[in-house]
Order: sequence, then structure tokens, then C-alpha cells
Amino acid sequence: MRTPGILALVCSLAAPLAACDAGFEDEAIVLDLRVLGIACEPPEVVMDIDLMNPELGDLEIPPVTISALVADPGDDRRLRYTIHACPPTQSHRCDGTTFPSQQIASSSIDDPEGAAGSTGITAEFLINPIILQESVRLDDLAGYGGVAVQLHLTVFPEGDEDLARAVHATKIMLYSPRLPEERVANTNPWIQEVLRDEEEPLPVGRCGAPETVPIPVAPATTLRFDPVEPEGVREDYVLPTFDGDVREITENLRYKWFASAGNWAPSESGGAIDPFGNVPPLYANWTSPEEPGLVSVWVVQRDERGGQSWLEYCFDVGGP
Amino acid sequence: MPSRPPRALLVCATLFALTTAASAQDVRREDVPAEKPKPPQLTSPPQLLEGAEPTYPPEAAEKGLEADVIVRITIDATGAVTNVVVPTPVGNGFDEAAVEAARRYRFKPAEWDGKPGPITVETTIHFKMQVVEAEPPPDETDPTTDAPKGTSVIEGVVKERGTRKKLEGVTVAVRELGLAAPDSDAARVKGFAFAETITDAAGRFRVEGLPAGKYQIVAILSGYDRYEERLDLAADEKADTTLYLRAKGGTPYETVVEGETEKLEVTKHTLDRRQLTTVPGTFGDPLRVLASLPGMARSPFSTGILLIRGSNPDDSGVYIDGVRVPLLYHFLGGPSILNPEFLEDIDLYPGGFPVRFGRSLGGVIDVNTRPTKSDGFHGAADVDLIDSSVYLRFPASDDVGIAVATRRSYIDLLLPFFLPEPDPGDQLVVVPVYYDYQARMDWRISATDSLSVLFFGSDDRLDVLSVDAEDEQTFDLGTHIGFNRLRATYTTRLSPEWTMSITPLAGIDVVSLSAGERTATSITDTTFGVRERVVGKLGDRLRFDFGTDLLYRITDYELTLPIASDVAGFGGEVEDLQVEPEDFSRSSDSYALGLYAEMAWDIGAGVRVIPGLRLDLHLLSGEQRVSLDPRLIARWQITRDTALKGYVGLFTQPPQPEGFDSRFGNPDLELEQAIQTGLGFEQRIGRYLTIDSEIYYITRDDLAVFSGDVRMRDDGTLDPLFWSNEAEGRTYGLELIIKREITRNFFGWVSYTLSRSESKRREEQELAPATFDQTHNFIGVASYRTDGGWEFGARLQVTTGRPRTPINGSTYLVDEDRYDAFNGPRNSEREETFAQLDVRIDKTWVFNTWMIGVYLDIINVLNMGNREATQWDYRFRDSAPVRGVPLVPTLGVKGQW
Repeated sequence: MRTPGILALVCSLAAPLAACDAGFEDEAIVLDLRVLGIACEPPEVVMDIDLMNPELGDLEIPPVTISALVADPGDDRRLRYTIHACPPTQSHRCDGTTFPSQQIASSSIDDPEGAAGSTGITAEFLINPIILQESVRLDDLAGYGGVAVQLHLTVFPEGDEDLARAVHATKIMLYSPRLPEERVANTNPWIQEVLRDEEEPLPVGRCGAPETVPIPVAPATTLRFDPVEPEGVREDYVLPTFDGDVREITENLRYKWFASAGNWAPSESGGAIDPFGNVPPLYANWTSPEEPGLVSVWVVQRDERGGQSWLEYCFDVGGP
Repeated sequence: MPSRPPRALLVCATLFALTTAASAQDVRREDVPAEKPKPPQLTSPPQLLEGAEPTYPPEAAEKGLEADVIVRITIDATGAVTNVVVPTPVGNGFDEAAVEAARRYRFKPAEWDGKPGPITVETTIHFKMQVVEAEPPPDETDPTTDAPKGTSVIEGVVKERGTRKKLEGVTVAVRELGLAAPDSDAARVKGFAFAETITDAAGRFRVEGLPAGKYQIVAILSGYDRYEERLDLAADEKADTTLYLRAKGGTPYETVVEGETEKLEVTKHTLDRRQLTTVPGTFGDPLRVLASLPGMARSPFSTGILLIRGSNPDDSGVYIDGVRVPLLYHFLGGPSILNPEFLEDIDLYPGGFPVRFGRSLGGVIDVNTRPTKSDGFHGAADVDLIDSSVYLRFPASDDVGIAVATRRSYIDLLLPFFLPEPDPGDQLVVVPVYYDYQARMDWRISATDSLSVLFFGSDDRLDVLSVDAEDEQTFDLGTHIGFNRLRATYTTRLSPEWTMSITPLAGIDVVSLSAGERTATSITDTTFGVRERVVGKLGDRLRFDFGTDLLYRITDYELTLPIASDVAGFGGEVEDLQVEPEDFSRSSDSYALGLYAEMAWDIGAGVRVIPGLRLDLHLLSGEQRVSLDPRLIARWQITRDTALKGYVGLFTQPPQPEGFDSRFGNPDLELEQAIQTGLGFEQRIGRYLTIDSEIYYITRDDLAVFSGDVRMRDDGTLDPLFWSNEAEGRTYGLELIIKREITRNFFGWVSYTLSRSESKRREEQELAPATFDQTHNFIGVASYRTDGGWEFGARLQVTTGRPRTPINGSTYLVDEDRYDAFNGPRNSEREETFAQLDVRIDKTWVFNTWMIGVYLDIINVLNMGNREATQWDYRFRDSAPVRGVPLVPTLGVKGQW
């Protein structure tokens, strides 16, 4: 006696990879317009908010600087962007219809891979207390874990007004009550340097920038990249428990590796100990493409509290 | 070689009855004591008291034509023949002659549960030209030429070939002495008064007073091939022989029961044994046939999820002999957890089920196991590449029968021989490993008392079969689910009209999931219960079914999780927090006392109303809940073949016990409720064709779902609720089944369901098509069996594709490093229409004491690339279909003795 389900299972098990390989684009290889990271400075603001009576109008809220890592290796063009702030939404976008929305920025930048592309996307903003108040109201935890404000970045080629082709990215900015008393605001992590094959520090540089000297590498060569974390970059912090107690936690840092060509194995490293007890390694291996040319490599570092930083490198495949 | 003038030779006019007659209709159940009421049992077949010799049609005789005419005879409760039909006319005057003769038969009536009752039987009247041999030379051993010289005896037993089932009602005759009714002139040739006999309930026969000589023994039973055997009989010899009759088509013919049908349910689909094992696409797995009935939505990837009228799989009750079980199939759409030989029948109640079933909102599947018999040693074995099973049945005494069965998979042992060495970076391969077992004992204590004990269980786990040897990471996966059940049913007949049964039961369920040392979950359910049921009637118009249903369940949770469940992390997320695993031990107990009563009242003019009431008292982790479910069923039998039916009722079930946990649940949860209403129509067309249709409307409210809501305590701290009664849904539709009942060669049905199932998880949401909503679901099943042991079957299913939510781009969530789909209206699109054709070919070889069968079952023979789901690239720009089960042929071999 046999049943279809288990036979299908056996068939799929016999070819475990082929069953799921739909030939999709590799996420770690950036071919067109992408947002690779967004950082806020600071990533968290700790304030004296009374959650039982969240009147926020009189609070002194510090300004925050937002910056984004955007890549567009497929085209040589200017980009236009907007940034809005709103309470977290189901769609993760600030559409301005359901909840109040605050425009933070609307501007243009040069081609990120061009000579003048170093300016990038950056803006400073002061959050509107109405946004905060609405965020508290909509939060299931009533702001207990921090008042989350959604920052929605929209990027699209300048002159292309069809927003259906725009790229959207969202980051959460946290305005936290001082719970517990000893709570300290998060700070962004940072990468001291990245070692090539565990020895040689790589020089940072953006392809297209006049001052960048591309790193030569032979085609189809596999390099190991190890991020070096500065001492103390993994912060210890406290979170309030629901019953009024405190839990102490140490940050874990994750790394996401991107390139404009070649391939990665793996393309993610670091992070929390997995459920099986494995401590994830920090390094990643990149194999350069067969074709010669300039290749951008990015590494984005994240903590689990919204902190973020990144570094960018430029390789000359087949170069001197 | 002169010939006699043609004269009719009535070869056989004896009737048969199969004690294991398969009921093609629902029949009243109050007189069977088991957990599930059974149809009345044929306790004595009709016996021919007086035969009649047909007249050989003159024209046919002149032409030298011969014929076998099958006649279907309806016999009433007095033994009189009330109707005779020839289902397959043969012409040349034979049909009329056969009918004329059969009308003159006189019978001792059949008995149902010891009482005379109507029955319809078939027999064959053979018209053969008799040739008189030339006078042979005198031979001392030829009994036809010698006067009786001794008292030789032929005795023995008649059994069904292959199964060794003892056959009752078989005509056994001595050819040399003529074949006729016992009291006929032909039977008294040369003074031998017992030249013909009929086997008794044990299949035994005896022919006495035979002189020494050569004899040809003939055994005849309708539905079986004629059997002949030659014997040399010495003077004063007692010959003991066993005659094996071969069922036509390889298995016994099914008796068409014409007894009065009594229904206490509005919508119930019953599958009997033949339907259970030969439906294409099921690989002989009886419980898979359920998916071909109306009311059952198609399960994606043939995984066997029970989707009954839009309800969640957990909302439907699955019972085995009245004992609820947590699952019906092994992991990932594996085979069902019961050996097919253990099954008697399956009842599917898609809605409006009786009050004896409680604590379910959806439908009910009631699986009944076969009572054992003290009829010798029997068994079956099934071997294929993935698992093997064995079934044994044997008597422990004259009144005690025992049956055991088990199955074990070995895909984990065989697959490594076929798997390639994993390449670096390849995924691991995980395979299901399972076993199940069943044991049943039946003890007939006395004529009124009996005891049956059933012990069964199932165990599934996932084994890691292959990993990349160079991978530095470890992967230790432990997934296990298993259950064991023990139930005993004592049944006593309180009076001829009343029966009581008591069923104590115990069970243990274990579900565990572990991943290395940091993550482990183990949930153990220990269940004790007792069910008591009384069934009977007062007069001819009132029938009762009432009882109690007590259940006590202890649920123990052992959790080890590296998760901070007591804090709110960044954006409310805690998955990425680097915390050490914590051990949690929780326990909850629940009591449920159910009291139910149902009364069927025949008002008159064919109208029957069945009011029922069920009261359940719950104590769930210390929280009291009470439900009172009234239900009303009505049925109007307009004519013998036409009926209208309807029902309305309230159905209540408690949420899962963990939902009430003070830490991980919400003690304020309420019971979940549904109101089911239906209106139906039944029509019988001719003898074999039935139409059953129903429209229904179901609302479901207060459904418990995971919730992110929190409640602020008085001291300002927070109390996360985790669960709430926010979800709701509704389902409405039309179901239709046109069924061609089983006959010797053919059975089949056409099933169609038109439905709309909608749900929402949060109050602020709008109702939208539910995940498994399928507007149209058409299924056609047909199977044809030849008399040569071949059977050919096909099953076609065409179903509307499942709903899906359109995706209009994505948003990159930079903190979580993932893209989230930007969705359109929920479930507002559908996958492509699903279509699949399955075929099956069986060939059975039957030997005297055993039989063996080979089948080829091909699912999706047209290899339709049905789109079951859609997979997307990382940013939801490109998509690709996830195809369903491809063409899968399977060759199976099964032996039975």
C-alpha cells in the first residue's frame, strides 16, 4: 500500500536541491537598484515617557540622522528618493492614508557608482510628537518595548515617475521609555576592518570614486573575508520583563555580504547561536567572476536592536 | 447415442446469503451492541422448501440451445416470492420460462437478527439438453446400475477459495443421482433420499446412503463458480472432503439488502470494504478514499489534511471505534495508521452529526474496525519498497477471536543506497520513519453479552539521513509524534429492544521536537475516559440513543527554548536575541463530562424528527465552561425512493488546553462555536443508482487564534494574552453525489461540491476566502471487475485552484534583513485549476487456501503539472510554480490466506 504524499516526498528527497531551484536571482549579487542598508544615528533614543499618560508634546526629542546604502550597478543615472515617518503599518510602508505620515526628506542623488556618488542618501529629522503618540496608541505593548517609528525610504530613477518600479525599504527608529531605570540607548556597531584570507586588511573604497584604488584579484578566485570587530562593540543591555523585572542580554552581530558580480558562500555570517547550538562563523567566501572588470563588494553589519553600519570595497578582477 | 426428448433440467434453485453481506444502504443500528450501531445481521438465509421445474422453451429445444438465466427473486417475510426479474435477458424464451418457474418457488423466509424479514437474492437457472448415454455394460462398481449395497457417506465442508471462509447455504449434490430439490422426484431416483443437501452455518454437508462407486460432487452457490469434484467411493466408506468455491470476479458477490432503511443522520457517507481498497489513486489505502467524497476539500500535495466543509483540520473529530485519535495518517501524507484488514467501514459526517459526537465544530470521521471471528487462522501481508505490513487473525477458543496487525517503514534503510554523495553545501536529507500496530480481541460471552478490546497506536519520527560530511555545523533533529489507545467495550442486550454498551478507554499522545541541545519541545497528553451508550426503542415510533461521554486529559509540556518570552525586543521581536535556553515545565488538566440524548420519532406519513441535546461540562486548567448544544434533524420519506431531509444544530468545542495556560495562554478564552444548517434531497433511481444532495450554511464564531494583545495589570506591568477568541468564519455550498452501488462487476460515483469558505483572524479584517477554499470540486470514480480476476479503475478530480494573495512588489526591512511582500487584497486570486486522473489495474489469483494479488496504481497518469503554490524570489519580483504530485506509478503485491 502506498500513498501519493509519501511518494512525492521520496521523490523530492532524492533530489533535495533540484526540487526548490527555480533559477531565481541570487540575493547576494546586486545587479540593479537596491537598498542594502539604512542606519540612524543614533539608532535609539531613550526618553522619560509616561506610558500610562503618553503626552509627548513637551518632550525634548533629539534630532536623528538617517543615511542609506544604495547600489545601482546596472545603470548610470541619478536617483530620486523620499523618506517618510509613520507608525508601523501592516504593509511596512507609509502611505499617508491610514495613519499620519511625516515627510523627512525628498531629494536626488548622483549615480551611486559615479564619480560624484559619494554623497549618498542622508537627512536629519526631528520626529513629530503626533507620530510618536499614534505609534504608542497602535502598539500592542503600548510602547513597553519602545515606541517604534517606521521610516520608509522610496528610491526610483529620476525622471521615472512610475512608482510601481520604485524600490522601497523600511527601518524602525526606536524612541524608548526609560524602562528600566538603567536603560541606555543603543549605539550603532561598526567594523574595524575586514581581513582578506585572514591576513591582509582590505582597503575600503567605492568603485567610481576618484580616490579609490581598486584591489586587484584574478578571475574565478575565492577569497575569504573576516570582519574584525572592535573590542566592546557587542554591547550588554537590559530589557524590562512584562512582570516588572529586568533581563540582561548581550548583543549579537550579523553580517550580510553583497557583490556586484561573482558569488558568495555563505552570503550571511554571524548572528545568534542557532537552535542546534552552533556558533555561526563570521567569515564569508567570495569567488570573483570569470569576466574582468570592477566589482563592488559591500558588507553590512547589524545588531538585533536596529543598529547598523557598512563598509564598501572595490575589486579589479583581472587587473594588475 | 440416442437422445431423450429435451427436458428441462433444473440444476439449481437454492439460495444463498452471505453472512458478511455488505450493506449498500444505511440500515438501522440499534440492535448491535458495539460502540457504533450496526445494520441488522442476516442470521438465517432463506431456504428453498419447494422448487419448480421450468419448462424448456420448445423452440430452443428444437434448435438444441442451452442457457443460464440469472433470476433475481424478492422474497417477503412469509417466504412468498413477490417479484422475479431477469437482470440480463438471454432471449429464446429462456427468460420467461425461468421467471415462470421461479415464481412457483416456496421458501422458508430469511431471518434478520432471528426474525423473518424480506430479502432479495439471485440464483441461476440452467437450461441444458440432457444426453442419455448408451446403456453401459454391467459394472459392479457403478451405483447407478447396482442396487444399494452399503451405507457409504460423503461429508465435508465448503469454503470460499482463497479466504477459506466457510460457506453456508451451498447446494451440494451427487450428479449421478440427479440434481433437484430434496423432496423432488429427481432426488428420489432409485430411492436415494439424501442425494442433495445444503451446507449449514459451519459450511458442512453430509450425503448418506450411497453405494460404492464413482460419483461427481457438485457444489453450487450463487455468486460463485460451479464446483465439481469426482470421488471414488468404496463400500461402507466415509469420505471427508473440502470443496473450495471460487467467487465470481475473484471475490464474493455482494448481497443487495432490501431490508427497510432507517436513517438517524441526515448526511452520512459510508464506505464499505470493496470501495475502500480498490479506488484508484489511493494505493489501496482505505482511508484515502475519504478524499473522494463530497464535503472534503482537496488536500494540497495529497498530504491527507482533513478539510471538511471549510473547517480547520483540528476542528474535525476522527474516531476509531468511538475513540478519538489525534491523527489519521502518518507523517507528510504517509499511509493511514490502520491496517486495511482491520477496517470494517468508515462513516463520514461532513456536517449535522449526531449528538453522541461532541467537542468538534467541523465534521466527524468514524472508523470502525472489524470484529474478529473464530473461523480459523487467517492473514495478509503487504510488501513494497517503503514499508511492510502483516495481519493475522486466529481463534483463541470457540468464542474468542483475536486479530493483530503491524506495519513498519524502512525507507530510512533503503534510501541511502540510492542517494548520491552530498556535495558541499547541499542540504541534509530527512526521511519519515513510522510504524503502527493494532490488536483486537472479541469475546462472545453469551447470547446477550460480549466484550471487545482494541489496542492500537502509531509512531512517526523524522530521521536525518544524509548531511554534507564537510559541513562544520551539526544538525541533530528530533521530531516525533506518537499515540497509543486502549479501549474495551462491554455490550449487553438489556432486552430484545434495548442494548447498552460501556467503553472505558485510555490513551497517551506524545509530540516532541528537538533541535540540538538548545531547543526541545515535548507535549504529552494522557487521556482517560469512559463512554456509556444505551440504544433502544419504545413501540414502533420512538427510538432512543443516549449516553455519557466522560474524558479526563492531562497535558504536560516540557520546553527548552532560547527565547525570551517575557520581554519585548526591538519592534516587539525577540527571535534574534542572544539568550540562553530556558527550561519550562507546564501542566494543565481538563475534564469534560458530556451527556447526550437523541430521540427519533416517526410522526407518520414518512416523517421522522430527531431532536437531540448535548450538554458538556468543561473544567479547563481550572476554568469552568459549559455548553449546551441542541440539534434537530428531520427527514421526510416522501416515497420509497425519495426523501427530503434537513437539520440545524449548535456545535461547540473547547480550544486546545494550552490556550488556557496562565503563562502561555489566556485563561479567559471562551468555547468555540458553530451553527450548522442543511437541507437535502435523496432519490433512488432503479436498483443501484442513488442521488444524494444537500445545501448547507455554517457559521463559526469565537475561534481561538494566536494574538499579540496585552493586558495592563493594575500595577502597570503587562500581561500578554497570546490567545484570543477573535477569529470567525463561514462556509456555505452545495454537495451532490450520484452513486452506483456495488454489484458483481461495477461500482462508482460522481461527487461534486460547490462551496465558499471565508474566514478572518482579526476583528478589524473583512471576511475573505479561506486558505483551502475550493469553489468547485468534481470527482468521478469508476471500477469494473471481470470474472477473470481483473479489475480496472479510474478516478478523475477537477478542482478550483486554491486562493492566493496577489503580490504587488515588496519592501526591504533593513533591520530584519528580509523583504516583505506588498500584498493586494487577501486571497483575492486563485491558483490554476487542478486536474488529475488516476488509474488502477488489479489482478488477483485465487488458490484453494490463499490468494495473491498484484496491482498497478498510477496517480496523475497524464502527468498534469498542477500548480499547488507559488514560490517567489527574494524580493518578490520573479515567481515560479510549485508543482504538485507528478506521475507516480506503484506496483504492489499483496497476499492473503
